[in-house]
Amino acid sequence: MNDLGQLLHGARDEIAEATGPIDERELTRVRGTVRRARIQRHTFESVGAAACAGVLGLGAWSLTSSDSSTPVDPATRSATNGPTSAPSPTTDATTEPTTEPTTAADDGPAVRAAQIDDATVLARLSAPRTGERWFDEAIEASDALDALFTADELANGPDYQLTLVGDREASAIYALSFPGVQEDSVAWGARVELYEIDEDGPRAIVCPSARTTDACASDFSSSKAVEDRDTFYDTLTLPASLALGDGWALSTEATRAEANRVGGMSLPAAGSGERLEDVATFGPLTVARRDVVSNLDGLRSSSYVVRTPFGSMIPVADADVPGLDYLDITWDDGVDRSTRGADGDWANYAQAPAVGTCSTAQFSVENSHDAAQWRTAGRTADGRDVVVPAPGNPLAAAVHDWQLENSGTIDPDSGDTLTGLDAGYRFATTDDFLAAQSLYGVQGPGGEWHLQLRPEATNIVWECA
Amino acid sequence: MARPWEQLLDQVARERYPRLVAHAALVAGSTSDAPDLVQEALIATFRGRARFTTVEQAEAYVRRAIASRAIDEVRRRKRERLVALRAAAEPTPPDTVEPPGPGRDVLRALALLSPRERACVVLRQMEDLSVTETAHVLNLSEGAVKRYTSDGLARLAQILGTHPHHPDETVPVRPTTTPAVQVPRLTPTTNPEGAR
Repeated sequence: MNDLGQLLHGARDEIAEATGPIDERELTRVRGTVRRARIQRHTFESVGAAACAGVLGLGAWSLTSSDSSTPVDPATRSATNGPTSAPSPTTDATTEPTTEPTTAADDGPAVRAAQIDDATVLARLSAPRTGERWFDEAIEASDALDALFTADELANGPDYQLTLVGDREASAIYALSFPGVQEDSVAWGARVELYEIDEDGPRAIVCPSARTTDACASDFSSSKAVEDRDTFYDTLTLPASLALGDGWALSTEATRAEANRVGGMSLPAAGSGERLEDVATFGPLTVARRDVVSNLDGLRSSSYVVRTPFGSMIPVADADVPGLDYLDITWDDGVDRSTRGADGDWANYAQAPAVGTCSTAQFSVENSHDAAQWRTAGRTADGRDVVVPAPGNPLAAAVHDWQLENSGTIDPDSGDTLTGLDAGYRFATTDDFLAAQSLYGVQGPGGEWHLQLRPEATNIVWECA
Repeated sequence: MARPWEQLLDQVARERYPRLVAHAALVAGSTSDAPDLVQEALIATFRGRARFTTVEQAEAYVRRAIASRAIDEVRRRKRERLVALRAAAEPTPPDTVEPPGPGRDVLRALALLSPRERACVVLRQMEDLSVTETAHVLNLSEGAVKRYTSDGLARLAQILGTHPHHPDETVPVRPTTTPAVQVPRLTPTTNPEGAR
């Protein structure tokens, strides 16, 4: 009988002999990854000390917690990815740290208030009282994950992504995000959470706004962090109104009231088919159009988001976008269409006509708008003209046909797949579709027409998955 | 001029790579994942704060990182498959079958062990780590290390038709939940196309 040890060692030697040297390109990749990680580690270890002389930040806390038996490299501020006091995401990222002192917008204590006028909010966005500094580029910080989670959680939980995004006094500020596919629902899969870590350990920043009336995050993921409802940032406080030009503005009232939008969500991943186009800046905040893939040629479909200085985006709620409130439109034909005709939250507001029900797009814009193909048919609650397709407008038929053809569901009794009208789509013909004023347009910033689809005319789906 | 850690990394990667790949193959029960495991372990070892100054010390760290990452990788794949099944997003890919190659029979036998059994056997049997050291590397209790090692060695001996190398394991072999008759016995002459 063979000795097991001999077999194992023999197998190891056989495999080793058959293995060639490491590929030079792979070694270069390994070396580069290690170098970046070490630069990042030095940077976040130095944040606390650099921000407040005599106070040891994360480096000191780390030493006394999980890694106290190993030496720490001398804290050195990296020459790259330095913090700036008022970054502008729309400008090219600089690798030089900005050390200019911040000019305060006001000299009062940094306290929250229930109401803050927009002039003050805007001034503080550029000159925050609260001392935070955001990095021009987030720094990968997976080495610090053990400050937020136990080893078991890291081994068995989602593949958390942690980045160092800024600092405030002796604290380092981190953004925690999640991969798109994981064990829990996709609804929170892309959520971003903010944490500060200092010598006392990690804190989850759940109420980042300076307004006491804005929503706080209802929960957070870290098992090691304590909830911090006191820390807030002037640079993360949304103005009540975001003017995009031509007297056209987004509200933020509904957006600020939603607990799941507090930290925003991850930016679109490369290859997702989504694209962000910045349209206006408000200090470190940027309003952007989030383009998704349109299902109809000649139409660009978008929604609005607010990009944060730490690399997340906050979707602007439908209620805050002018023109989406279909139920409040007054129609010239005298027909009252203010009663919601479908169940579900999705049925409260219109959506982009060139996408399906499950899309996030709020409006579509034609590549070339021909005013002769449209006629005025009503007014929104805030007095904007509402146009609908003129007879023969080919876009109406295209939208109707796509929504009808892409309607499908499952018969709950038989389990059969149902499509089109059988699935419950309400409009058999384009004429029916038009008679219900399903497709309409409201003028947006820059004079372009935002086309929208009433909720009842969107395609039927079994579920958005 | 390269920093000391870069010089050490280069030296470990160039001089010890084949041995590290072989170690990774045994721990993972597969040669296909071994190069990736080695590279991840090199990154994990040299990005951290470990205190080592010689190639031998660095190699020892990398070997331990390979073992702990092999277990994590298996866990991650299991989670992803569960998620995929739950979401019915994609069909679950079948387990790969070790292709013919060096050490194939031993690898096929190791692949039949659980990831923890495999890691414990390799670290205890081949790396000569103590129970305490193995428990630390794999984030297991010492009792679990003894049990996994004992079970793993017993199964390997049964599959390969050998006798265990470590007769002094202090925990008696736990009665296996798999009847002996169901454990495939692999020899160079049986099922040369590979067994599932």
